[in-house]
Amino acid sequence: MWPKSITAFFGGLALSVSIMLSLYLLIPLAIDVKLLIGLIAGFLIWVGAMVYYFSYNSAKASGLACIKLLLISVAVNAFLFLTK
Amino acid sequence: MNTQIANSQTTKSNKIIKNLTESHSWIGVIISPLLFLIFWAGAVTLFYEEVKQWAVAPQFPVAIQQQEMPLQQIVEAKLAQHPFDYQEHLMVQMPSLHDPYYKVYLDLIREEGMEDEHGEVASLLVDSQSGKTVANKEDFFLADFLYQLHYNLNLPAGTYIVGIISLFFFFALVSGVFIHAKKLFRQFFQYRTDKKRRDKLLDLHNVVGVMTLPFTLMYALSGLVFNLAIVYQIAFVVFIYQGDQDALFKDAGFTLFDEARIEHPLDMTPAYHIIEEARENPDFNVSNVVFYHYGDEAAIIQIRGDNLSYFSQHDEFFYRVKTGELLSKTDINNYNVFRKGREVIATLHFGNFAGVDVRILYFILSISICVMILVGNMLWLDKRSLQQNVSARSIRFVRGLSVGSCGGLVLATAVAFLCERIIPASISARSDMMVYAFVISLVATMFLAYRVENKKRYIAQVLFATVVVLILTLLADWLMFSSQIIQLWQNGFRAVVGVEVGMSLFITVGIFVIKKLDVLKQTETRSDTAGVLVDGESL
Repeated sequence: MWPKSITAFFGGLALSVSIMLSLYLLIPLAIDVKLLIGLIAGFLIWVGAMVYYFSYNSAKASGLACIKLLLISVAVNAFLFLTK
Repeated sequence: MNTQIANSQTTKSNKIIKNLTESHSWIGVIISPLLFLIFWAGAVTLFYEEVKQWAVAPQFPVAIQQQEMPLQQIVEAKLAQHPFDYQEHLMVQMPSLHDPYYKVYLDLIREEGMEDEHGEVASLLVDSQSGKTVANKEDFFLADFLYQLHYNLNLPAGTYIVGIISLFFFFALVSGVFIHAKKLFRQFFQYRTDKKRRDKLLDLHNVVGVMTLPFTLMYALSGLVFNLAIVYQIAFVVFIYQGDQDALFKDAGFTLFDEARIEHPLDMTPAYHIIEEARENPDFNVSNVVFYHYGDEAAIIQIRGDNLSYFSQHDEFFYRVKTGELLSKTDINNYNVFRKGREVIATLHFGNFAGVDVRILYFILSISICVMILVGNMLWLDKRSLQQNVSARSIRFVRGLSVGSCGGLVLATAVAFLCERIIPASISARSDMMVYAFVISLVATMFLAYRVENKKRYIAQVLFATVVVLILTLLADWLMFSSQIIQLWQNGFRAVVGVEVGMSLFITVGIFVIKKLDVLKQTETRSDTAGVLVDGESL
């Protein structure tokens, strides 16, 4: 359970930060609104990702799912930063 | 074919639920001692002001019939008595209907070679009528100690530890919803009294979990916002603000003034006129005032308070003292969404948006969650006790930890209350003594929890000790301060009696539970595998 927990904690954190940055760049609202949405959405995504990673049978499967999601999210972020 | 697909989907779904159930119980057991501590200390902290008043007011009753001393006279007397660092700020917390003292915070001059570090702060409790310093605020540490225990465990990195516990608690809630989803409405209030012990425990865990869900979700999210927001703050500063933290704070609605001193003296009387004007507004409750560059031409005052006409509306005004110019304001028409959102979250978290009745409701819910945490551990122990591959040592460890830490916290809190009452106010290290007494009673209870075999009997003994300590506290209250308590009641300060009523209720409930457990007279020891904390009959 420890490896799965570590994946869920850090994988969820990385994914939430990445998606939160994408949201910040995508949402056409005032900065203060985006900051609030980013903060709350960040935690919700983190916990959602943890639930998703813990739902796998093994730490390995959980880690692979984590990497897949992270790569997609980082690619979206890279695109958004480059086209900003 | 369709049946096969349906079966495969059901198996997959069952597997997901099984994985989530395993992680829910595993994480639940790991975080349970600290989560119990956070909820227990939080439940008591809901009455922070009352506990503070209970500790201080009988020792230094304020003669409210006397003429109130002007604030300027009080502040300048304190500045003359302490080596205030004029480069820093000075804060005054205002007295209120329930709290008759000014709290004055002065940043003192730092020692040579320590200029870059945060210096010592004098926190003075000042009689609002006579202007006398009655004590240092830290001398009556109980309420602050419990509050700090709630949000940072009184540990250096405790804020982040509490944040991480909140995160896993949030996970436990969401995974609990997934696990229980199919029965969420069908078995909303189900509590089977005629079934096996495990069914009863499970029903209790589920019923409390479902009924407190909106409350617990709010607590988990707000706990994260207070304790782990640093994570996203760093991400924003690095990726969006290119390292400019001040720009982020400005966008988040936190006003920063970094003007330098001019080093020309200034009479601060206009500042007090502005404060008086603000205090005369019946819809605005001034909570505190901060002075920057006191006595200098660059002086600025910041007035903060609550707009009583709106929910969770904290107003803030900055004035330049020399000209009386309003530099910045935050009110119902001018607010930053991020800051306002954070304040609404804080208001919901502390339950201070209404009267004491809401806080009593919050308290009941918090204690219910403490029970849910304990029952969760009992379910884990019951299940593991029946499994062959689980070591007896790990079961013994979790069992001792559950009984020792939870029971120990309750007893230690009662001991801290007794110490806060009986240690004389003149002893300078009284707050340290109170903390030591708390820690010693907690550690001793935890240690004994591993030594005593009959856990049910041990719980009754710990509860009995708590009841005795609380009775002693009440006796000390009335033996030491009966006339002051009566005088405070007559002057409208009800917090002291309110806390005593709370203690009396705890004593009553404690005696009821001890009687229900019915073990104090038994002499034989018993340690059946399922009788982990208490057996089924007592539930």
